Amino acid sequence: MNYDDLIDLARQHEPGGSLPGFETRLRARISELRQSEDASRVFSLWLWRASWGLTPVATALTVVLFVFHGTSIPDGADSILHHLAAYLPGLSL
Amino acid sequence: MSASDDSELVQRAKAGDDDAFARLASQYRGRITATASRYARGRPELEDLVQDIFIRAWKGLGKFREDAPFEHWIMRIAIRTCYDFLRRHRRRRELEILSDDPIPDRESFATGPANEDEELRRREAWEIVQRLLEQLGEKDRVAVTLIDLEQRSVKEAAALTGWSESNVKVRAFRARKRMQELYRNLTPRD
Repeated sequence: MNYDDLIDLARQHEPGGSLPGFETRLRARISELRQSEDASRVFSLWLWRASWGLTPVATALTVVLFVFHGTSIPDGADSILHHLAAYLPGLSL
Repeated sequence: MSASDDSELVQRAKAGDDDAFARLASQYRGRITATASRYARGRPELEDLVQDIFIRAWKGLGKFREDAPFEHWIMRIAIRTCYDFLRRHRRRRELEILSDDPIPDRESFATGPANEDEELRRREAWEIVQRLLEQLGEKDRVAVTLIDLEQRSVKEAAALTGWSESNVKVRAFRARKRMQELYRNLTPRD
């Protein structure tokens, strides 16, 4: 048999056939993907909201730490933080 | 199914209706399976490949702008997924070619009984062709499969693969030559 006849014969073969359980499996995979997508979306949303909620707390904490730390540095006696700390009530330098 | 039916199902699927997507998948399963079967070896591989094609389509549905028929869009996804599949399994296939049984004897195939079951002969021919295809590079294989086995035009093959028409032509020509050479080598020389 020559090459062209071989290709012609091979072309007529339909190896596909039916795929039992195709739709069930596809639906299961889609549902799985949807669930993981939902979980990831919820987590991202939570992270985003939590990060915004924590922002004022984190900012206040940073300022307080800077101020207190600034008063304890001898070399920083002329720093802005040092002068700023002098205005805070109850704080001795 | 008409293009307007497809369009309606696509709209629903885009809106998150999985039943609509399942209907689209059932509608195109036959064509996609026929295409994927040119690249997969064996039933489990074929099932996985067809599933991967539809999952990729499901994930990309939001990007489908409907400026072309759904069939064209999903066939492009199918060809690209098959190409990726070939690339992913390249190493394993190389090892399998080394360790598998030799390619069926060309002469014994050609001189089978005249009344041999036609489907059996087709299947044997397909098995030989598949073994020849497996010795090609992925792009050459895709090109020759589209042009020679699926009998698509160069223009159509270029649209499906995203390659230029001249690239498709050159690849198909080169792959055909290589396959002819490999097939000739199956004949025991006197």
